[in-house]
Amino acid sequence: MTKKILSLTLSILFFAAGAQEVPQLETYSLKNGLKIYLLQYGKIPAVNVRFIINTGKKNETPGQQGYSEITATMLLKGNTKYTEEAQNDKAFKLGGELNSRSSFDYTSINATFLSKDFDAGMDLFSSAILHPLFDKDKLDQNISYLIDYNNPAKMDISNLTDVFSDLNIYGTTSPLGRHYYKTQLQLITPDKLKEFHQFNFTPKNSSVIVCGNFNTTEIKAVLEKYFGTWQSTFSEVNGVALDAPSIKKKEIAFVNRAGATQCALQWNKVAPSIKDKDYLAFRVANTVFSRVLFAEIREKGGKTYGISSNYQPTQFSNLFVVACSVRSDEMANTINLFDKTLQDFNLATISQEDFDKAVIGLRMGIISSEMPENILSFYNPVMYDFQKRKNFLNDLAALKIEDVQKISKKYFTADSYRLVVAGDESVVNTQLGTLKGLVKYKASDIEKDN
Amino acid sequence: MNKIICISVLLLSTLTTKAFDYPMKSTVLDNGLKVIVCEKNTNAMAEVEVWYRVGSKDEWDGVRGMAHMFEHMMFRGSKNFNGEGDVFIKLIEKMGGNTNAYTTFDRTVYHEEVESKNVERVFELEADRMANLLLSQKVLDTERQVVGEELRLGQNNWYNRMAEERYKSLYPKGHPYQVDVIGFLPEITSFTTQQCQSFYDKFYSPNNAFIVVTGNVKAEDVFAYAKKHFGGITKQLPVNTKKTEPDIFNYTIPTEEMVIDFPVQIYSYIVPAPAFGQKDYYGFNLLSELLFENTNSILNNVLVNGNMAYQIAGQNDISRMYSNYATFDVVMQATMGNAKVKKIISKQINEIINDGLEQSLIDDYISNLQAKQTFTNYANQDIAGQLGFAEYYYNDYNKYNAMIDAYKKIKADDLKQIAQTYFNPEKMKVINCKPLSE
Repeated sequence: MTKKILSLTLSILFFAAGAQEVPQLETYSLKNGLKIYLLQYGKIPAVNVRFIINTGKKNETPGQQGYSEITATMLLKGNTKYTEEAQNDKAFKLGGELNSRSSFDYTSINATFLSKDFDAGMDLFSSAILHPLFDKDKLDQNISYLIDYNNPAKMDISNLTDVFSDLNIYGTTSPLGRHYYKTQLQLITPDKLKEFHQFNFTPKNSSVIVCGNFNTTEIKAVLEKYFGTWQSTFSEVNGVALDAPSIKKKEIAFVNRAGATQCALQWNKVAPSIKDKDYLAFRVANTVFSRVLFAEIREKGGKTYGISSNYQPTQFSNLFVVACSVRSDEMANTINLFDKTLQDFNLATISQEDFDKAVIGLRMGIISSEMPENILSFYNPVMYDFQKRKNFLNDLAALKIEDVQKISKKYFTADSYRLVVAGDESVVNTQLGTLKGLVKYKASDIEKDN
Repeated sequence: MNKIICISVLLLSTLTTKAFDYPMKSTVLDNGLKVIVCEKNTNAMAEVEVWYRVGSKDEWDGVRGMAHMFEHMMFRGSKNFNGEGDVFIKLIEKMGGNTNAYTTFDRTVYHEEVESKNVERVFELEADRMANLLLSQKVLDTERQVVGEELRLGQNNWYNRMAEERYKSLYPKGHPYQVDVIGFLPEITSFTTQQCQSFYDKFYSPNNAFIVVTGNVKAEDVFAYAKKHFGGITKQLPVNTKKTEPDIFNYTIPTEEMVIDFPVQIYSYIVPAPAFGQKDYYGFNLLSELLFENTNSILNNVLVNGNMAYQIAGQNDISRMYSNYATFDVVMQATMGNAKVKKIISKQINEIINDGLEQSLIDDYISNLQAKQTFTNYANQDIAGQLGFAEYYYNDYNKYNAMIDAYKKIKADDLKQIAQTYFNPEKMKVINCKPLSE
């Protein structure tokens, strides 16, 4: 049992982010265009490796919902060199396991090895990424799993608010708003995935980041050995351009989940993008806001186990998201309390003490981290400007409270958000009647391709 | 006078039993509080953990969930550090640190990660809440609601609901683990400050706790902070000794079937596990790892990689002062042939009973653990956690490596007997969890 969700969430945001020792970056490309980033760091003979392919949900055309997620899973389900069992067995002996995931922007494979095992590790990586089998039985099993676990009538209410927030914000005209569903998933075949893989998994569309304590000459030779001959029919970078979300007024949507023991609430609001000049000041303002929310809604109100404001912008999604679950009879009260807290925060002046606490918290989160995977996450040269990351602590120290105050007024406005609520309609029906302009979703509303 | 013990500086060299590369020392204050320090001077940080020898095992009817409630109340203020909200969190965050806590059946642990220059301040705070916790009705009322939401939050997940329902029938009456850590909602929502005070008076004292500090510190400095801030706490409690536990090995779990509100089917295997200190403790843990716990386990390879199950959710909590249950839940598509999966599991286990295992499986598992221990060298929290576990269960933090050392002595043939004794398909309980729609 772990208490204190607020602290934990901040930890995840920023403890997964940084180091006292700044890594040394060397960047180059193989002849086929594969970009290599070597982050020399630390004294312990271990490396974290992340292979990043510039494809994710953003690249899915109508009818391709789930392709990037399923491809990420199938990469580790056997390839022309290793069966799934042999691959796992080899990775296990090396002390780790290969993990794959996809997000809005990227697909990645990640693992930590002892430095001496880098060659063996890259053998596993290259086999999985370059030569996956897309075995039909394993694909069918994976699709069956997704259908069972993503049934809107059965899934957790917090997952429902996630899925329907995407639908509500981006709509089905955007790949970010489309979700997979049963009849669409059942049309996926190994050949369709192979085509998706061939088109998107190319050297020019990929990057490798190695972070840890290693011999650079040896690492370069191993990367050349396993990826130097990689060629692709589709040789260019896979470009996508999407509009950033626009939220200009308050809108509330509801999804029924019969039998839910609570209501889940997820507020979505526009925030600066990763490259915006407001980025750093917003981070600090959001840290203060998150603490205010926790104090008002949990500590004083006792309405929820945990609430926090999370800010993890992606290429085409610059939002901050507040989520919590409350007992059903407190749903409307919690919305009102959130509105009041947001408004008060926007009108109030951030105190020097709160500002200092937020800044030192972010700073400590960065200097406390030592694990190579956390260093890699913070400095990730695919996502961030490395120089800016190196200067992050200096920029943070130079930040003025006035800058953060301005950002607070600009972004934490009380007049706009998209709120999605999931709960048992039969229990909260009376409360729903008090919410103006409410949109009610049906579970089947996600079953649209466009 | 504090008795300062300087033990085992710089552990073994490069061979297999070495886990950490850092010097360790300990002391015991006159009031019985032991302080363990690992001088890991690799960055500016330190991890402080205060381990209390109290968990849900120590509760009684009427206060089920109280150990976990303290995990909440301990952040809400003490005599010299009080105010609105989670006072303790605010003070730690002011230093840029972070703090949290967890409660298990056996223990409650409070931990902070701060810059090492702030360790003394953390000691000051921890000492005050060890000796002078404030328990107000208003705060308790709020935290009762918060814990209620924590419980309901878990119930929103179908698997948690199944596990909670299943738990109710696992243990015979009077077993220390009879009630799950979070407790019963009706009791939680009626806790009184008097009940809280009684619990605090009974379990929170220096001789029922120990402290682990890992990070950029000097042991002698930390011992001086301990003496200064904890040394004056005179409260002493009777030693929290182990109780007699009802036998779960011959206990009949009454549940045969369960209905779950989710479109999958589960075979839930339940296996009584020997307590820490019993002779088969290590063998049982090792076989559990190899059979169902790790990602490369025998059943995972056969059933999940063989497309017969979505996943195997295995759990064997090795932190068990008393006998508990290991469980592995085979989660399958609801339409699959059930009997076939059960037969395959029986066949796999019978092969171990009759033929044993390949020694290479054990060797590979040990290689995995050893590589992971190298990665652990980076993490203050992981090191502190392992030292705490060793101190709690072995009464000796130097035995942080005892588990892996014990595994190395186990031969493949030894596991035949473990399989026969504990995993014989005729002895394991299997609950069939079927989807609501069936």
